[in-house]
Amino acid sequence: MDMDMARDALVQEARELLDAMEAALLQIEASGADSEAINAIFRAAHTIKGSAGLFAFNRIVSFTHIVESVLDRVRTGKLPIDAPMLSLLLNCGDYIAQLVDAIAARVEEVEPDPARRAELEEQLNQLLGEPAQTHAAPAPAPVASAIPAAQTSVVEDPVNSPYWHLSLRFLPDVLRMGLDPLSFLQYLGNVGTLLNLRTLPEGLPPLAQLDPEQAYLGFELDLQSEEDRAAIDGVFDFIRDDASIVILSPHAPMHEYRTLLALRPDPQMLAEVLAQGTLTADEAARALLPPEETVESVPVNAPVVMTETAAKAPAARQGEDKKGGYEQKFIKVEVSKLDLLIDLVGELVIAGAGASLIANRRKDSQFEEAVQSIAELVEHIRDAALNLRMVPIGEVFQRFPRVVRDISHELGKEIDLVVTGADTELDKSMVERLSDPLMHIVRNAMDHGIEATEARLAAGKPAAGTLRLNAFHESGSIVIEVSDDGRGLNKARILAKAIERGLVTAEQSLAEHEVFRLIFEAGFSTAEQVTNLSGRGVGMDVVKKNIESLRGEVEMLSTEGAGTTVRIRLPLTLAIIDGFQVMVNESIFVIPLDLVIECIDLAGLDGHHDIVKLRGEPLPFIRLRELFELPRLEHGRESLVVVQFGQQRAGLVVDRLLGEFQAVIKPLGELFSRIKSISGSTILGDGKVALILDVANLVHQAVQQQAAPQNSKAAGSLASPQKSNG
Amino acid sequence: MDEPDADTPPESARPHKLGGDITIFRATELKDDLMQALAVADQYLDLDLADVQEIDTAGVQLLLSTQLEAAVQQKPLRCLNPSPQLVAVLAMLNLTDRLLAGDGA
Repeated sequence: MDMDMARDALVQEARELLDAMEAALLQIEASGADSEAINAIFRAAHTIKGSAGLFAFNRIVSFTHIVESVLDRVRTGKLPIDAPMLSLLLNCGDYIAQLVDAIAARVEEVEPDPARRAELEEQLNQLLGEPAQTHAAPAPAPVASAIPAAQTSVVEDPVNSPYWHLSLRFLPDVLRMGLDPLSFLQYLGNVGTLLNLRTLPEGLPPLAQLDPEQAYLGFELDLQSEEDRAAIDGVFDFIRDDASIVILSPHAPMHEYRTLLALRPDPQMLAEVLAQGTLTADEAARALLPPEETVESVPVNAPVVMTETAAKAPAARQGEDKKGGYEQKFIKVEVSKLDLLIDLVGELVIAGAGASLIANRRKDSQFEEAVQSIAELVEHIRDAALNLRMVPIGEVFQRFPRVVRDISHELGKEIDLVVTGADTELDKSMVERLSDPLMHIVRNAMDHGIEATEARLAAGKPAAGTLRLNAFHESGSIVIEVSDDGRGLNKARILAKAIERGLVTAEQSLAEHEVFRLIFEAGFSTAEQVTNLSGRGVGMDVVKKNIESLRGEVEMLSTEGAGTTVRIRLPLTLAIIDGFQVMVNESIFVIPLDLVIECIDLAGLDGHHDIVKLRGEPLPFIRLRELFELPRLEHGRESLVVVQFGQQRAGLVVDRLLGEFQAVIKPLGELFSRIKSISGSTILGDGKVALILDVANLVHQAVQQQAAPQNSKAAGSLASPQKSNG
Repeated sequence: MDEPDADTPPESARPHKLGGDITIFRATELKDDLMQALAVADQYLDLDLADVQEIDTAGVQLLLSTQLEAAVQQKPLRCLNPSPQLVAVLAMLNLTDRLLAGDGA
């Protein structure tokens, strides 16, 4: 199981590094070579190779090694970083991503695409060319020989040592966190016998410069033990996240030691340390050499190899430094732990509501005060806990520069991408589920929205199209917009298609936004020719479904000839909301407080046919009693709660207003999945269940009823038209 | 604090006492203490370690770092009378030769 966690961590780290690598490559493409970006690419490749090596994921190691060799030459100016090089490196990054995916899917033994790999390796090896490469074999065969050579040298070649070898380094902060590396060593004594222990005063300064609470020491040791890896590994459970712990098995293959050396800041010194016990002098020397070169052959290569390692060592150190800084600022936390925390906070909120209910009944002002201050704290904890899950939407947006680059090449269109609001935050779980719909919208915009260059010039527009990604917060929601300055939606064509498909009849007169909404109907595509980008059967209806599953909404705005904007509106969080409680008969309903505009006494208003006149404006409303088919009460004053979703407002008629309340959203069972008017349920302080109203849906219902009362299709499932009941 | 007697020869200078728990909890305090001891030391920094109780990673670092600083100031560190607890820890870390060798032990 620990192995699985480590594997996940590796996959995640590798993906982040690949993203960084891609961003750096695109940056170079956009604004020319700069050494910082080139170093970033090199570091990414180097670190991926290193981590993969620890797990003996040899396919990645051997491939990344070649990429790294090329990068090294780019870095030292021996190879130019030009357009073909950038494309090649982007493709290599993609292939490494495939290999990482294979690891994630537990199929790392299978080469995802041998032909692709061979092709890329050939291109890389051509770049490496004559000066120093390994392949003594004449030209035509290098690719075929490359893979087996790398692999044989990597798989075989065990070292002599019959002991486990452990290499331990710690983050500077471990002591401050109350962890004592010494105690782990002492505990390790229970698992086996410590041998050849070397205390490495890595970077330990003289006393004057010492930060006495920072951890400096590292350890290299052998362990004579009959236990298995899990038992040894288990010793470090508590410190693993804050340390770099490498455990090599008895007679470990040479490449594992090689990877270990590459991982540490000073391989030369470490090799010397290892040579004093763990490894023979010969083994230690060989561990310092890159793998391919060491396969029996060609001593001629040796000097070249040495210079290459020498050049790499400082780079490795630099990489480590950067990483150290990063790790101090962020800790990686498993998502499930966060979820657990948020669940607990949810329970806390419910329990708190229970306590304040009792306090209210007791009429004990001190008690009430105490409960009040606890409630405030709970609210802060809730916000802080939810905030932990908030990530900038830039995480999603960062994929798009590459996507836009590739697709615009493919389509032969010139398209500029403008990203704004990338630091707008939203819930992590949404980020993941947002990525695919956004991708689809972006592709659509580039494929169908933005015209070919000639058409643009003919229309008097600049030759390059512009695609904008924008995000911002608006009254309890996050809004994400994808806009293009393309040809816009053709209302007539959409309508014609919809009539052809039988979605609407020719007599119906639809407002513009209603026409645009037809695009989201299943199986709707107006593209005259299906390209291989969009129009592959996955339509905007899937986008809409995805967004709705996040309790969000998607709408289209368009001006013919000037462009289209797809606007997605999502709630900020999926877990806990500030709710407003209302009562109908004895049932309590919760409305998300952010969406409530005002509450009015209905008696004073002139209301007919589900529309009231509010300050001179018509406002459609829905009676919750009728919506949920609750029995009528004799008398009673009714109140109108005005809610807003997006730009539309509607009223909800209820019996009583109960006030604010923190609602922990519990999902509804499968059974209720077809009921549109409810988005979830919550538990009240006294243990009763209340339903949370789906305001977006209710507002739609109300507005549609107002617009087309005769259109029976418009009314939602539960909402029998008012007349029948009233 | 120890006041070294300026007139007595270095060999007989009273060693600086370092005792109790040499751990992270006192690390900052001990660093200052050791810096001061080093400042007043003459020729050698002698530490009397007979009363060392518990010692952790921070404590070991402190000793190693003191040794480095002492070397910089050319007043080599001599660890005297190490307590059994200290001896055990240094033995496990294979630091005995480094810290307890020669002069003092």
